[in-house]
Amino acid sequence: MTDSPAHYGNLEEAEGYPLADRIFGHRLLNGQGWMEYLLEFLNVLVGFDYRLGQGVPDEDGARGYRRHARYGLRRFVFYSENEKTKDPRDDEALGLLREALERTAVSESGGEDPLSVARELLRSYSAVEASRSWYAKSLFPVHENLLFWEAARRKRAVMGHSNRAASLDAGMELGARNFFARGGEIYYLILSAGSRRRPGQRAFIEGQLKRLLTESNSSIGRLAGLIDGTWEGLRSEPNADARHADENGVQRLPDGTLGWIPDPDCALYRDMAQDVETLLRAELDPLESLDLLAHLTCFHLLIYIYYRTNLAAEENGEELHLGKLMLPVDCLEGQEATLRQASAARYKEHEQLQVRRARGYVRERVRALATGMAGDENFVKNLEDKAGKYFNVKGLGRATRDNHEKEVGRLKRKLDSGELNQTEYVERYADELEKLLLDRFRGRFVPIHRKLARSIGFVAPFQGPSQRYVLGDNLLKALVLASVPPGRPQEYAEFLNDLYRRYGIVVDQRAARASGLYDRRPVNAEYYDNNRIALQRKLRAASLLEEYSDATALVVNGYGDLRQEG
Amino acid sequence: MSLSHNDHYTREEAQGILGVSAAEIRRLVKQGELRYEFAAGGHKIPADAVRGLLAKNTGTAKAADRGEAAPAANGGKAEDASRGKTRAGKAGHNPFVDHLNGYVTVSPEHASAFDEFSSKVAPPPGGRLEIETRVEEFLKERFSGRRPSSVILTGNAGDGKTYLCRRIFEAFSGEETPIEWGDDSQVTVRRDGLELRLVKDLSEIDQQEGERVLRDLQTASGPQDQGPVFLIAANEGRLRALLRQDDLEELRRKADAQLRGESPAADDRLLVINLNKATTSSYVARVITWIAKAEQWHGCEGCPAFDGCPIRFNASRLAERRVTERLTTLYRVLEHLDVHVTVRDMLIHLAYVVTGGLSCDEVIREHRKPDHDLHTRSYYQNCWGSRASVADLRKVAVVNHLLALDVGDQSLYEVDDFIINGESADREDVRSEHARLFAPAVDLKGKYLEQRRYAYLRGDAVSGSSGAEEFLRMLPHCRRKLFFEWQDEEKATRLTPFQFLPDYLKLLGGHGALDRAKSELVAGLNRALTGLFVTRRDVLFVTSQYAHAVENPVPMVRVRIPELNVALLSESEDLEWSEGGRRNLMLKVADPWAGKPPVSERIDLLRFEYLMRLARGGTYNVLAEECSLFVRELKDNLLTSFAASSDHQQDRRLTFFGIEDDEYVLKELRFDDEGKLWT
Repeated sequence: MTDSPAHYGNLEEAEGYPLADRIFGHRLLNGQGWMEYLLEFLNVLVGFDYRLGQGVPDEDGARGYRRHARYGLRRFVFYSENEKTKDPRDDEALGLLREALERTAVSESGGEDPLSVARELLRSYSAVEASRSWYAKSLFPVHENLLFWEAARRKRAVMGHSNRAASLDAGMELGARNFFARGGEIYYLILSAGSRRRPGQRAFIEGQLKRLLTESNSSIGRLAGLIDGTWEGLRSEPNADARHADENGVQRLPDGTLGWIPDPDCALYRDMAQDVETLLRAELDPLESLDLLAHLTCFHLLIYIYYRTNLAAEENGEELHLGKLMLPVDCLEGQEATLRQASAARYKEHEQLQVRRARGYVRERVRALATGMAGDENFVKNLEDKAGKYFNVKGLGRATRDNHEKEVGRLKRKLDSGELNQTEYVERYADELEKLLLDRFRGRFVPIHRKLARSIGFVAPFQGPSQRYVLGDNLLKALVLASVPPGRPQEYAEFLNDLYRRYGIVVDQRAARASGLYDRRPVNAEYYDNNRIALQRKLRAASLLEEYSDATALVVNGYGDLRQEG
Repeated sequence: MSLSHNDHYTREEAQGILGVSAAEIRRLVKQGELRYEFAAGGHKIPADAVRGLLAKNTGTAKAADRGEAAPAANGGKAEDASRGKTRAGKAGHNPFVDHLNGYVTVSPEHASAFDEFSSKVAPPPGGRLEIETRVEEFLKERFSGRRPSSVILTGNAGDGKTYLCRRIFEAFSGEETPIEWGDDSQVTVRRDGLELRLVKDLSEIDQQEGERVLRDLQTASGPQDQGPVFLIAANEGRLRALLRQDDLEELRRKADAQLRGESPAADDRLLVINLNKATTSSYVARVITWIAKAEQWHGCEGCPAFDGCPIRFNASRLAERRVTERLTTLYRVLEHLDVHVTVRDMLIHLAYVVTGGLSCDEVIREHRKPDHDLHTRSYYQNCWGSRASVADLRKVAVVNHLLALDVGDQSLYEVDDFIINGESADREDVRSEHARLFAPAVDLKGKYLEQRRYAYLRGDAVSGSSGAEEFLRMLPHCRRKLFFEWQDEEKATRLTPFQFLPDYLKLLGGHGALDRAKSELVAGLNRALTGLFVTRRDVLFVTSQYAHAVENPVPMVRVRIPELNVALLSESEDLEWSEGGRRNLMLKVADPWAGKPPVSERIDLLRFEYLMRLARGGTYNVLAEECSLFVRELKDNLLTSFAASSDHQQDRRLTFFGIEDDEYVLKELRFDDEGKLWT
């Protein structure tokens, strides 16, 4: 086993990575809000000028991506009296901006104050609110002018600039990664890796996303541009800091670097790129397209987590079969207790499987490291060093590390006294390392699947007991449009089979049997039939399915096709 | 036992089928009309020889038609017929009840519901059920021509495909003998040099043969117009699967276009008829007329349960004009909920509505008991399967569909008040209607209900009297009765869970004020599209908004469509082969800039109810599950059709709904020529 497993992106082995990153790539954290996966992904894409496959050593192209600050816009939209930590710098900056806008951008009119109306409108696109500071909030990108990177304010004082506006921004930085943890980057890497051998597909995805972010909602883009441009104008007045401003004075340096994902040739990535391509073919309201893409992004990342947890897929040539993920979806609104329970149990089980996978990974890794050390005089120390570095143990809290070190010290004494032999020591050491690493894994990684699944309507209810897999309206629509290209209807049975094969979703009896769910929980087969019928009804009500005679039903994507084939 | 599935019969079986003695069989063998062959299980008589002889023996069929003792059509049916005879001979056993129960799959004798069987059994006293349908007439007319085009019949199992094939066979060949389908479900018949090939079910033949048939059909329906003509009954799934073959591309194109609702091209030599499109509701009255024929009930004479029999009662009540119409309305409502009821399902249901699955014996036995509950078997209870077991419910499909429309569980004050206090109402007409409806009858167990109602009125409910409690339990029973029998149609219709059903039906029938309804629908759509309590109804606002807004949503107006550009129409699905087709309520939205074709959406009953409720101030959660995705689809359609041209015009404008003084009002931001912002 090499230190650097096959990966796609930038893996810096010298840095070491936490346990979750080792299994799932660099990196997914619970702090990232569900919409922030899409926001981060689009920020990266736009930062690479709408090109996939950039920023990775395996492919030619730009190294880093630009991150948009747009402090003027976001301060205008989010900073208000209700700000949790008011700051005189922001008060002043907002005052300056409003004044400049009043002076240059607003016409006098008898009606309502245009700036208040503009703010009310822009605020309605607030994608991330929570109780965060103004610079950590985000807007839904109906236009690229509304996209900006998560920012933070440095605690240390920053030397003032001679330009007043620029000096008010001087304490801000874009490298926090509290909320843009890299989940969106992982998605960028997935789509890049998945479309590597399909240049046509890659160009189509790039082109469609560019169209969505530049050609639609141009009037809102113009409004956002006017506000941010006014602020940038103030910043670039004489004596502005040239180091951070390019020729337009609005963009930071392209200094964003991508992380990495494991298994660069994984067929799952190809399937996901294919899904995105198909979804983007449908001629929808751009806002709807982006909303469905947000759902699909999170769904893909969820499946990615499950897949890497279980590695249960069977690859058959080009085709991947994810049936073993076994995700029983309850389409009967919880009316059938047995089905509801089967789904709820599996939801919990997926969590346990992640923990089990993490445990297994640590043990496997410790054993592998120990194997190469037979006869090593400094066996104990070297093992500890190597494992510590590999999992970046230094990144953990001091208190937890101290405890761990105490336990390891105790084990070492037992080894020295002959109470444990070397093999036993390795196993006991793996136990201790598991304990150390699992804490953070449980706290920061395991809840991600819950957050993603509940936010996109793949698990319901959002709170409360009996949470189980369901298919909410948005997700269902996203999955249909990602699986069925416009004008190419698919038989309902085939569609269900695809849901099962591609994502492990179990709706009908056939999938229940094939996945092994039926043997585990031999519920009345009729429930699965009712489940199938209920989903069919729902699709029909949404005009996503047409019924013909003798139970022939076709799942249809009746939207216009933005990709004319041939 | 079925003829089509046996290759050989034993001598005893042949005797049964032909209704002759062993000596007669020996004579026929001697004369060479029958022969023995070595088959599995010993020497047997070939089935085709028996069939041939049966076909020749017209006397056999005539005897069966008269309901005389067996010679019946075949072994299995001989048993049916002879059983009918035996029962008919016994006082109190009406063979027609057995016949009806033959439709009800909950009874073991369900053969009547299948044409292959029912066409061969002895007909009931009032004659065999033969519904003259427009599609049959249409097909007969078509196949009587010199060179008719071929026809593919698709439809659900039970839509009457086999029945139609038989009727066309009889009409084309001029033969009255029952059609004998070969093992491959095919029959070829010739007339005046024209060959007609009938396939009663494409699913019953193997893939290779199926493809061969379709290739022949493709040639026959091509420009050369040669060879035989076809009448093929097919399951659509199977048909589509077989048509996937590359060399069937031409046929696939034609069939697919017609299955998707397009009319056949003028020079098409193929017609695809999808029986799913037929409105089964139009046959309900005809079936009830057949059930209620006096001759069918002659067998009841002398029955000890004659006066208290729910079956006989049900048949006669169902035939009352009002009751028939209301039952037909229920079937129509199902059609407007996109539930397709097959002819077979309708027959099974109507038979069940009459008999409740009871046999004459069971009725007589029950009737003897003083505490019997035969009144719970009245037609309106059977209609919703209130006494049926879960297993039975599964089999009577229509009951399952109707459960969504059950009027029994809806408590409306004015209805319940009428049931309880109608007798002492102020108005004379109300009192007399109450007296008419609740006069002692079989369905009310004589005075049983009345007594319990009095107990309730006396206040016995408070003292815990069981009579009063029972009355309360019987309220659903009474509501169902009222739904069918109350003169006040408007109130009766309001008993369904659809508050706007009466309006919907009126609009469909062209009696409602379409313009007023349109204005309400625009209001409902505005609320559905914006997600806000918008009060405007003069303009349809097609908005787009960020769906996960943290604060109040602020829908941006992407397109404004004046109400004048919106039309609500009642249109009929015109099918030349069907009884008028279903009427639909269509919402048509014309492009405000007149450059694009209009967007047309069907407003079915659910959508109508959803939008009307919203327009009248209802909350979004009601019916959201069924309708919210439809609203989004409509929005997508309107935006993709009209937003591009609208954006062009509104490039400098941002119009949206914002809050002002606790009300949603339209707000606007504009850029002037210098790029400055205005309100």
